[in-house]
Amino acid sequence: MRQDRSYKRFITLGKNLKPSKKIITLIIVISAVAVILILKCSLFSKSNSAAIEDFRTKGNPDAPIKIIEYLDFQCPSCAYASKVIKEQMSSHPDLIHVTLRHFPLSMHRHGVLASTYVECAARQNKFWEFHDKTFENQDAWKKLSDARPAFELIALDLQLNIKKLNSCLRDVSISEIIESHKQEGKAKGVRSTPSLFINGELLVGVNTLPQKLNQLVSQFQSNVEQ
Amino acid sequence: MRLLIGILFIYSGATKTIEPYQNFQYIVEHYQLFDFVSAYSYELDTLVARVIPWLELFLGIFILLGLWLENALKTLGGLVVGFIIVISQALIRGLPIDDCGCFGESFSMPPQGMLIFDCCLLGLVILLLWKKEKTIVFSLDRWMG
Repeated sequence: MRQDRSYKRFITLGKNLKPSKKIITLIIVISAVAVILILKCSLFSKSNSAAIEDFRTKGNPDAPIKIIEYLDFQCPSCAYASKVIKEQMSSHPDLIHVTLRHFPLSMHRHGVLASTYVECAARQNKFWEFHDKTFENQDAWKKLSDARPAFELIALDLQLNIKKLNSCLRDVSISEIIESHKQEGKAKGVRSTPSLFINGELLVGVNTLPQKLNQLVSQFQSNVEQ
Repeated sequence: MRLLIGILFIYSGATKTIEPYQNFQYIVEHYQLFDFVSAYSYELDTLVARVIPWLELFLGIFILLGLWLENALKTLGGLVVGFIIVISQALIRGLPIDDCGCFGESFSMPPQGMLIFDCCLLGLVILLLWKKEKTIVFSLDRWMG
């Protein structure tokens, strides 16, 4: 009898010690949010809108609209983004500054090759020319099983020194540069292309790029007029 | 089975919440869900991209731990039905979607495959709701009475 009472008291005590369901739910929700936020902060670095000025940059370094674009030369949306940005820059040259970073996607078989050719063209001071021609001819070369002849034609068109170009294509440091850009992008949370950091704010894809740029241009144009 | 579904949705939700929400928004935009309200489609896509990953994460946690289990399973069932509708409308309209975007970059599945997967998932959720006595084993709901 005494044992039964003790046992019953033990069970009642156990039940009374159980926290309520709502408290447990609250603890779980708060913990989950905290874990996610900690992981977010530790895994991804904030984008710095101040880009390093090098041959992959274009426009007024003091421009109010700073774009850092992670791109893949075989990506059709990147070709469109390039066209949109180019149009805005030609209309408002003082307002936009662009920095390009390579982010070739594994699903695009010629992505790395295209980036390599563009980087090597940069060594002969033809980065932006090769960049433009690569996008202009994208529909043609992306269907080829071997895109090298297409890029060589672009090189000839731009009067690049082919011997220097071929030497550069064998240079390991070029692939290291491309890979470092990709790792840099991944550290900022870039997963697809084009991913554009416009004044530090990430925009993925091109659906709203024209409107976003128009909005910013209008905003900064009216600031300049004032 | 309940534990596997919980882990699956925790993984799906966590990968999307940890990364910038813009990555998932890019996927959502491809489904063109809010074309009929074009003035607000961007804001609605943003809302979906911000909310759905957290919903997946919490539903996954509650199902794994077996907390508010019946409500969590019903909500998950509703969510999966939503996914089925979204993917079906994309396929019917012939929208150019190569990857469903469901599990971030880690796992790629075309929409057709995802539709089949979601239908099987819905079947499993219904089974778990039907076989409550077995579902509730090793759950916080049971421990708390």
